[in-house]
Amino acid sequence: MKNPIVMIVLAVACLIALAMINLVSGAVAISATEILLCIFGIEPGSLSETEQTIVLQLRLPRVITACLVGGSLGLAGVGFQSLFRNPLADPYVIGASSGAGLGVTLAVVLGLQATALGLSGVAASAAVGSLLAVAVVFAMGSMGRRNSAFTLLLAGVAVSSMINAVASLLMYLNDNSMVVIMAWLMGSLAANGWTVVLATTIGSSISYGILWAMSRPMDLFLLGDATSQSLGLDLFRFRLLLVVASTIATASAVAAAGIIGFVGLIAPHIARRLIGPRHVWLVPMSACVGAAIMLVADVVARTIVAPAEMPVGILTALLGCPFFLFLLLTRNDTHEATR
Amino acid sequence: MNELSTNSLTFRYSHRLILDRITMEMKAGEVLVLLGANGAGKTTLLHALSRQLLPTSGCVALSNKDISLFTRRALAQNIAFMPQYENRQSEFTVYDVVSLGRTPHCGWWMPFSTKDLIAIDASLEATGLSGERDRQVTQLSGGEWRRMILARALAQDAPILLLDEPTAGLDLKYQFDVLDRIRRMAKERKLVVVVTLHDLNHAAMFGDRLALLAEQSLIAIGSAHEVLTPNLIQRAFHLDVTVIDHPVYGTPFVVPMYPTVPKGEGTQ
Repeated sequence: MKNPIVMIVLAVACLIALAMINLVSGAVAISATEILLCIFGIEPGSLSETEQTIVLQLRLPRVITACLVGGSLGLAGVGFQSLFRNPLADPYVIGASSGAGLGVTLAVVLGLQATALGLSGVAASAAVGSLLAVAVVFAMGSMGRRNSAFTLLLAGVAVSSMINAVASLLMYLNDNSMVVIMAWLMGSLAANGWTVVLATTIGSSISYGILWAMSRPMDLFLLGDATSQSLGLDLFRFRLLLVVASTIATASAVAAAGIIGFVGLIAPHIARRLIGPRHVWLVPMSACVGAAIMLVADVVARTIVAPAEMPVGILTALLGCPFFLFLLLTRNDTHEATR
Repeated sequence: MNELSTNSLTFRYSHRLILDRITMEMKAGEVLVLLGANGAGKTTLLHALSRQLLPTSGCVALSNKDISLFTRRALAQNIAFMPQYENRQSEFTVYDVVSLGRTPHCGWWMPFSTKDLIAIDASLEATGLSGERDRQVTQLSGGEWRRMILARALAQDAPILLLDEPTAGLDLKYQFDVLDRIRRMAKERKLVVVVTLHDLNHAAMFGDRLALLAEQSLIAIGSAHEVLTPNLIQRAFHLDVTVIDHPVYGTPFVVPMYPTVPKGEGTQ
């Protein structure tokens, strides 16, 4: 077995390298050394005022946001895949994306101008929308007599389609704002300054803390409801905390970058391959992998159609899908046949 | 002193009555074997004893305190339950799964103490799995898997051990090894052990008391000689048997009577 600590260190080293590539690439050519000197405040004089602004106000916050968004999606993916004991679950599986969609639609249609925690009105309502949608789903899923993950999943499907219908109706009635809404929902890291970093950092740190502290219960939960209960797990409390932590992560990613598909689905898979199934390593690894995917996607999105920019959400889906299929097809399936 | 008892325990699945007013006591240092035909409610009773299922009425008490008053974790420190089935589709190793048995003691996030590690090693040793600790769960045979979840229940180190068919699918040697070990632990550590078995002769050899479930209730509870009578076995299993004394142990030995099996030919 590979040493998990070494793997985590390697992953962080990769992240730093990718972040450097992101910082260097762009329309204005600035060397890596100059960027590092500028960021750490040593000899800032070697760069012009404009170049300093580009590095410190545009590229650096963008790289950090990409890391936070990808990391949050990786965390939320691990959380929901554990909750449903299903490798196909992703951060949006119980309604976070439709909630965000409705939030954005309402904010745009109503012309919401307020800001919160440095987020624009639209971003904040996207986050609130996804939190509320999941809260409704969780409340409904826990109401039934059989309060299982399966009920939760079905409640999620039902509630999201209703929310989607409402959002579509609103868009249909206000077709002039449709483009704005769609552009926002497609997912982008553009136009994010330092203000967004704060909110996303708070959200993803809370979520990381809760999920990492729950790594042993998450291992246990994988063995089934009855087993985890007989080993002392309070299932309701566990599910509630898991949903809260994963949804906070999803909402902070959504607030910063809109709806970015596939990262939350594939990051846990890649992480599991690299470091094994135990959540104490899987949680940090999945966050690292998610962040790495976002950094790659962002640099490609910025350069592939330069000087224009591709919505990064479209790109993650485009790149993610074939990669995911590759993982599925090359997986060693020894145990599938013995089922 | 740890004792487990049920008082008028009744259980219904929708409207079907499964268990009807079961009242019994389980003592420390004693192996109680639950017997009964398929569907007689053995597993349901074990699930009720471990609070996997809530009874329709009546209660289960642990040292005279209703088990529904315990937190899950406190209950897990007192009652270890070995299920018949659970999810086997994980990439965990044997060691990962067995070490999860320590969760009730170390909680959600505390790292394992030396005591935890000793308990894990001891239960791997006890089930003959020391050499298999790094194997993946999905690569285990049915019998190895069952020994692994037994090892986890042992690592839980609870004074009450509920085992749902611990010998199913095991090699003959391990069937006896496991039962022998369970019996020895019950005596040494003064555990309350409740175990469901299918083999009446195993029950006679290893059980201190036998409880026979049929017709939704407990039709007999007592020593092997009291419970394993042709009449009671006919009532519970709808099977004609002759009961003889075991030539070595003197325990009752149940021989099913089938007219098509030729008698005596083997001895000529």
